[in-house]
Amino acid sequence: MNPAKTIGERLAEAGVSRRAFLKFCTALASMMALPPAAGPAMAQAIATRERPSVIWLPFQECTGCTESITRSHTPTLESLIFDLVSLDYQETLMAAAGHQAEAVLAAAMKENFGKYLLIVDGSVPLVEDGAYSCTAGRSNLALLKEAAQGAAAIICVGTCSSYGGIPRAAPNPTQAVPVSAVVKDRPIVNVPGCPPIPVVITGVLAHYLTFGNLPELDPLGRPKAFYGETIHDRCYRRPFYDQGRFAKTFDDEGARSGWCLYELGCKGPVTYNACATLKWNAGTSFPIQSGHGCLGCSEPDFWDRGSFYRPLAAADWGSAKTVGAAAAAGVALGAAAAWAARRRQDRFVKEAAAPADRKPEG
Amino acid sequence: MQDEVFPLRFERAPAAVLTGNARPVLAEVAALAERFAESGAGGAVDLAAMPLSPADVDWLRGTLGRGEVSAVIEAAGASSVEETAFAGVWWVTHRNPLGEVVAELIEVAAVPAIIAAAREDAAAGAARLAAIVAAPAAEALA
Ligand code: SF4
Repeated sequence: MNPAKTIGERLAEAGVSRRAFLKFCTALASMMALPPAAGPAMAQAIATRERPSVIWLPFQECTGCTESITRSHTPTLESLIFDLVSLDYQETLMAAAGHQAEAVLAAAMKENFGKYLLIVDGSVPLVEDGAYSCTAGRSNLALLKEAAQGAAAIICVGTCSSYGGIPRAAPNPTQAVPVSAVVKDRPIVNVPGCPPIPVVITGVLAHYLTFGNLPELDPLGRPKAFYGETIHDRCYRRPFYDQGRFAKTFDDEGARSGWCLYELGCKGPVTYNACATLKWNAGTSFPIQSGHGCLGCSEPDFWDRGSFYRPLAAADWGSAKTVGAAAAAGVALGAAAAWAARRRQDRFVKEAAAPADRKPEG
Repeated sequence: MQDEVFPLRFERAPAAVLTGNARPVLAEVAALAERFAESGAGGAVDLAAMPLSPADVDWLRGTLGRGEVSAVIEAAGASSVEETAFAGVWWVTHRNPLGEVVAELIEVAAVPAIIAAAREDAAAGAARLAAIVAAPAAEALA
């Protein structure tokens, strides 16, 4: 039996109706903040595309990123998108092992040279020629350099491959670096988070499948669709922040009343991620909803930015004393937020209309 | 008793507050409805694109009311399509197999796109039907 060439054929094989697929694309478009008309357009575009080969290399990491995506509730959009691509190599998930697995990797890289998507989780240690992290006797460093050559683009999943993450934390004994420090001549998308939200990973894949290019990125290489706003921008405790009502300890009146966690060290104001809207565990909750401040895990060097429990310094962010002004402007906030959402959409309308080849910024 | 151990007293849940963002959404729907009535070109508003509180969504739903048609589409979870009191303005809710809402839109169209049968599915269906017709009579009846 020939494996399905296009995604449309693959859908038919899997018994997924076009209605189900349209729904899938509508939901994806919604999560990616694309205009509603993009849903049907995506369904059209994706169905006729060839299934791209995806090679996933785990480097200096804890497997949490893979856990994030595989433990997401099923059946989901996430599982569907991984069914649509051709995931040719993923050490943790594949049945093959040893020489057989390495042969699969070599074959996939050769057959799809210049076309495959390379997903990397984990940082790359440089000390002793990268000897601190090896697969099949080869250093991550050597493997990354080789695999990057034939990659159409590289998606860095997690804070480690994006910015170095915890392996890079001081004193960084292995001299861990992000992928972008090793590979300079390939488009790179950073999907940071420790771990990242599963649907953000698949959202980037879906964008690539639809438009054949990478999503618009911010100066830190992150897709603006998911990392365009801070946790604080979308936090449901924001009304308390605006009123200047803060929990002072984890068991005081304020904490029990669900007040803002700013003074308990919340890093939400300086953390760009989608946790406050997409949430975790099938949309159940996110750290702030569970009573703990945001750690800022998707930001570079989050581990070395001082205590998780010390309030953000005024130098990093306006002090809590300036909050009164925000409270006064509270009424206007809703309108401003709506305006921001609208503006974001307009940008994507243009993008959907003219999907130019885009190189990531920065 | 539980309350004495750890008294949780949430103040005015922020979810119960109208943010003022529902009215602009309604205005956008009105503009789409007008355009649809004039030219037949519809459109949709994604409710997730706006920071709407549950109270905002309830207000919108209540204001738009209910019309003559409602349908449930079982495709990778239930999707519901309900015409509002304004003909051609539909409230569309997509759920995954676990029943969670994955997308919610207000669609302005003669018929929401999710209802129409796709040509690709129709082709597969026609082939299956033709096979039944071609089968020997006894088998077809069995
Ligand atoms: S400081 Fe933290 S808890 Fe407070 S509103 Fe901002 S993100 Fe929410």
